Amino acid sequence: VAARPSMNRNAPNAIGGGASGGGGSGGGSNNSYSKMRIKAFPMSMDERYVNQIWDQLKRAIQEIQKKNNSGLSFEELYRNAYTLVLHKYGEKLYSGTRDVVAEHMAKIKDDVLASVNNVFLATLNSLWKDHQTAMVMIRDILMYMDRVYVNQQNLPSVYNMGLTVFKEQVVRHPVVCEHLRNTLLEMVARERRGESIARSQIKDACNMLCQLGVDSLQVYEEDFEQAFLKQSRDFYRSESDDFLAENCSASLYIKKVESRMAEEMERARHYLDRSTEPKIIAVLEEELISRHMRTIVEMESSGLVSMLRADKHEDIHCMYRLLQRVPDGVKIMTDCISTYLREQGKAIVAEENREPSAYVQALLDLRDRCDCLLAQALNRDRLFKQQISSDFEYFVNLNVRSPEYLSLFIDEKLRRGSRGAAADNEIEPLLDKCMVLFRYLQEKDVFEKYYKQHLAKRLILNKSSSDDTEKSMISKLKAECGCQFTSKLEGMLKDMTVSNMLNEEFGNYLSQAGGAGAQRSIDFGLRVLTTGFWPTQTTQNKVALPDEARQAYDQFHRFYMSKHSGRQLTLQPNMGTADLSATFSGAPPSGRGAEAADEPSSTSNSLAVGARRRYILSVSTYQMVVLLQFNRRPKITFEQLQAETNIPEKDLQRALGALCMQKMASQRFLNKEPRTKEISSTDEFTVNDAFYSRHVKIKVAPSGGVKETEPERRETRIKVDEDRKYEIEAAIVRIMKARQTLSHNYLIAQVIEQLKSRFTPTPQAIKSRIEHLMDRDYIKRSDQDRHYYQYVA
Amino acid sequence: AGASTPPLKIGAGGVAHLCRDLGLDPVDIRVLLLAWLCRAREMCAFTEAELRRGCAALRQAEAPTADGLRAALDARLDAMTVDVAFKDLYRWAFDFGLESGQRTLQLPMATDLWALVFEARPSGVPPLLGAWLTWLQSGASGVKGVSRDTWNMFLTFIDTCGSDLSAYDHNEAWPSLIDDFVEAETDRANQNLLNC
Repeated sequence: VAARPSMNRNAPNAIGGGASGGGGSGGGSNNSYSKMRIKAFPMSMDERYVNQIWDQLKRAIQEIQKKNNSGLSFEELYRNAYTLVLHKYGEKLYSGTRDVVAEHMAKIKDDVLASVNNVFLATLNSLWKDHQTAMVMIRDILMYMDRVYVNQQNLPSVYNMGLTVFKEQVVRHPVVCEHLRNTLLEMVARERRGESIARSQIKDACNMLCQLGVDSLQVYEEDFEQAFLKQSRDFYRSESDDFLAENCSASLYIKKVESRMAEEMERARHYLDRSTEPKIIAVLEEELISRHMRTIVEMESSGLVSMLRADKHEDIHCMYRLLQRVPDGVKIMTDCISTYLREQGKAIVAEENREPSAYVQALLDLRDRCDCLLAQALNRDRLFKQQISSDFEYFVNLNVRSPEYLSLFIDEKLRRGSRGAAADNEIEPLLDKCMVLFRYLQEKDVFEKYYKQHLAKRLILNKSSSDDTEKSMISKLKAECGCQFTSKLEGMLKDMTVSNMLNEEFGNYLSQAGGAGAQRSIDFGLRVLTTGFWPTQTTQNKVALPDEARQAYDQFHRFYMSKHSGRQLTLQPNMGTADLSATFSGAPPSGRGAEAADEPSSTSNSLAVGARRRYILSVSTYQMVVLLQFNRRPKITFEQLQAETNIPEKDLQRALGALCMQKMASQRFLNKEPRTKEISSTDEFTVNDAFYSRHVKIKVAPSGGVKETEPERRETRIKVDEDRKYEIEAAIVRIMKARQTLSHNYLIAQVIEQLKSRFTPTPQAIKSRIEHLMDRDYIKRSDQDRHYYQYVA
Repeated sequence: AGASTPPLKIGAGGVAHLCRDLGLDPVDIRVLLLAWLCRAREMCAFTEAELRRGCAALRQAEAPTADGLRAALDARLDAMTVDVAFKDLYRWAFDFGLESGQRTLQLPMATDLWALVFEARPSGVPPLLGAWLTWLQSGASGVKGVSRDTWNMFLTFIDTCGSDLSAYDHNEAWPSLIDDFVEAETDRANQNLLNC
């Protein structure tokens, strides 16, 4: 309400007219108490008097409306109104006032109409302001009526009546109404185009509309806001369409949208009503974002995919912020990222000839990129996190060799001296990252099998770089999968410690025992492995060890039995190594001698052409047995070797292969006739005297984990499937024993639940195991209900 | 009484003789019925006690004659109207067919018994039986023997899904042999539809 100019409240009876009733008129009559007479309050007024009062008031109102209020006496007018109401003439007063106001409105309306083509808004605003001022004053005068008559009759208060009349007569006049709306909309449109406008005028007009709704914003909404929203919608719809048609850049578009949104928010706060802000923002979100979000996300060469490719985290972050505002906005992004990620992941796992370590490293790198993306661009939003995890789980398991490769990767990192071995401070975080990949594997039992194999090799060949790191890795697996997974691995580590102690004790035993029989003929060490812990060995045959080795083993055997009489020791010839001193006496291939002469660091043995050369060969036990055969005979066939050594055919082939299949003549230890790619039983082997190497000590046995050949992998897979059958049966028996009676479907669900941390059995596989157990009377079908099984005690 | 005489028993020859007397083919359903009523332990042999039991069940305990037995068997076959009785016969047939010491019924014996026993079924030979036997004999199932559970469940299968395979749900607790059969059958039916 505009501040009203003060009315002269203290002016004495400036308006003419009879003195009113009402006790004690303030006047300066001489008061001699004898002469003072208090006129009694007239209990009824006559018609003429009433009209007089009313006329007075009427004229006063009109003066107020003409802004000529300075000469009016507030007190007198108030009194007049009061009198009328008191004498039950409220109705006359009210309706009369309304008529006067309405009359005045007509004038205002004409003025407004006149200004339609010329400063319309300013005129309207100022007339409105004047009206408000006038109404306030009128209200003040008629306050008693407001409080008493209006309340009783449930009529709108004077001020509100004034609002309504103004609204009906002026603002809702068809011409005025339309012109007002158009003017306002035009101004907004101009400002959107970049022109500057008279913001205060719009502000005042909107304010007026808000107030004219009395207790609601209905007038504002109907006369302006709805049209405003519609215009805005149309405007932004076409602006966004045009922009996208011209510019094919997602990030540019996003920036434009952000700036428009900021602009509209500011506009709403500044000169529209506050309640419009959320509505206009909703319009923008729908027109600028929802309608186009798919387009900008999928835009060629500037959309989300190209942002991902170039790791443009800033841009992705802007897109995320924007799309967050609308329903399904984030979903479009997660879907797009998911598609891209799956494509990347599939490419990694599908490559046929990739080395395991490169394979796993590529997966780890991809995971790192995703972590970066989540942290920097996506606010670690849970939806994205979940989607990325499920994508990884999807493609990691596309390749059945993932568990094997992961184990090989870790093997390389934990092995001493391997090319890929990690530095001390890097190893822990790297293992943690490997665990992230491990979690995605669905066939964790396959991983366990390979990990055991590789760990066994590391431990036996003494290739593990740090006991602590091994233990740390095992405890990570334990935390993930429970003790059942890792108890055997821990057992393997323990066996190593115990074996070291045993070797020491054996040394003491020998030196104490003294005498000829106790002498160590060859230098050797033994490892004692507890059968249940280590990977299962299929061969328990009697390989024909050379005498020296056999004697050494027997010595140890006696010693061990003296300590642990109840146990049984079995030699495992397929897991050992040996160092042999080998002498080659032939001429090296031509050219070698000259080269050797240039190398001062070579040993003296290899310098002279045709001289005997001695080397130390690190070989497997099988290879040792094979090579020592050549001390007895210079030429042996495969068949003969088999018969003499008792080595299983496949192992013998593998052992020989490493000795004779090298390309260059100087690299071969043995020659094979004929020089075919395969080893057949009639092939003949001889020592290759032309062998030559710059080094003195040569490793023949592969020291590290190699990825399996296809036939080997199939074998492992068969073993895994066998193990799984037992695990499923064990789970079934466990569950049935606990529950005694269980329905088929529930049993299947429970089994899957129990085994899910290792692998995912199919319902058919479980059914097949159930039948097997039924056949062996562990469980039976219930007689009452064929869908239920019962445990057979 | 005290003497440990071996129980009297007729072997394969005796059984053949009996069948001739009865005027029945050895693989007639009524012979199987007789064996069932006798609760015979093994095929092609009856002990004295078993035969007595059988005759009593046929109300021919007093002065049994071949004709009398034959008539009683015919009547008994016709009187097989109750599914419960048939179920009993059916289940017993599995044990009858087992070789001593075995737990699984060999496939050829199983198919023979199946072909035979359903002749006594009150509601008649099920139409699906032919397809079932053909499939088993083709070797597509990959099994060499039939477990007791599968044997028993096959009857339930016929009773519930015999006329309408679409009612079958392999997620239920059906034996996997029947799962495989239903899959093969529906594939075959679909193929026929395609080829029509």
